[in-house]
Amino acid sequence: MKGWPLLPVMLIALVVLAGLTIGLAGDGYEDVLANLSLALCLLPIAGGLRRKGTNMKDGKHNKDRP
Amino acid sequence: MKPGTLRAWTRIHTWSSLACTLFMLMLCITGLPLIFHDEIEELENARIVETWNESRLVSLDRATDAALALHPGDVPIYLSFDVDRPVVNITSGAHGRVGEGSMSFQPIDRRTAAPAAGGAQGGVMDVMLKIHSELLMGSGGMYFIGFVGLVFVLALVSGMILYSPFARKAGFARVRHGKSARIRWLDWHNLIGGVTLGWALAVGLSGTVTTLSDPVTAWWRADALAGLTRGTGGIIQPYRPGMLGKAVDNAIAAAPGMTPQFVAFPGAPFSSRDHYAVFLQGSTPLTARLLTPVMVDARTGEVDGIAPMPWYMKALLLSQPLHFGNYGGLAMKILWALLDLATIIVLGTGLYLWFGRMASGRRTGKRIAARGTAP
Repeated sequence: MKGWPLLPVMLIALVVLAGLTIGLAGDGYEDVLANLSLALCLLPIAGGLRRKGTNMKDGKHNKDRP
Repeated sequence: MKPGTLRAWTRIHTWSSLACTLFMLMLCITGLPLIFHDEIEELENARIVETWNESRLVSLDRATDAALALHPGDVPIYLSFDVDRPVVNITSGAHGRVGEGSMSFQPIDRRTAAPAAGGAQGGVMDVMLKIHSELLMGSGGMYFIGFVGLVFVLALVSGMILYSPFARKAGFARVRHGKSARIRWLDWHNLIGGVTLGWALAVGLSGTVTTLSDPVTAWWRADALAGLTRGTGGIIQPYRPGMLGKAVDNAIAAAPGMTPQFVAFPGAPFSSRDHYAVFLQGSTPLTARLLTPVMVDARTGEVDGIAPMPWYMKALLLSQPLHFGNYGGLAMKILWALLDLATIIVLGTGLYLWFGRMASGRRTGKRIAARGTAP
């Protein structure tokens, strides 16, 4: 991962673009795939928020430390 | 990345972002209710699911006559079909090339040939759409918004290039919660901007393409549609009672499996002087978004030409759902709205980081100046 720092970002972007395109082709599983691909890009944000909550509970959240 | 290259990309990202941030904030804020415009309009006018017997509907010609009787002196320009009720919408005007503002729009219920509800313009959502798509400035505003979309794409691409060395050091999707507020917001800016890149590129580029709908459609009219017709240059005969139904029936027969979406009468911008242009759509979700024009001779009702849309019109029509996010049900709309909110956060944090850097730069400048003057 260190050698390819943009790999996860590029993968998510590709999955989203593929999902959105597949979603145009039908109203059944195609829409489900499109929605799942959109949900995928929200997952890391949810993960970040969850970690923030855990850190605050553990008292690790040090506001404005330089 | 060399320090000089990094500085150049930082400059590109900073200035392209600053150039589009305020407009993008406006687009994101006005876009949010537009995502749910169907639901909002349904709340305003509760719509009942209607059923009807196709064989008992009045003919298209009779519906057109009924609309013209309400607008004496007008000629029909377009006729479109409602999807969820047996209603046709007749657009009419003094002549086929009348400006959009001088056109009349008359929905007619084909069960009774009486005027139907709908067609009222100027609601809150219409104003919101006008702000979103053209800043209330007409086509000039629309092209400007398209340019803003391109600058936004440049900001996204340059942001990704800058994210590369950062991600190498800090790791993907990492927010350093123990650090200062500025570093935490930088991490959030990078994280949200990175994971929403694909969606933001799709919405930004498709929005820019959508703003070009007028010139692209004009090109199509001059290029492909003109090639389908053989105008004789005679007197325009916009409407001959009894011919419309025949024209639509013959067009459907020429393209089996397709249904009419709208009709342009002879003399209308999307037709020729001597043709009804019947625009058919396919039956699958993908082909339903693409239109196939069938040119029908206005004198005989016989099909004169048929051609699928060229690639640039297909790109234009397919870019619209990719921008609006209205093809995957309510779930997609909710996800679209969440991603829109995420973009607002990226824009806001970007501004915060820039103001912070400016303030820090000023403080450093003052310190250097103070050291320089103090003994």
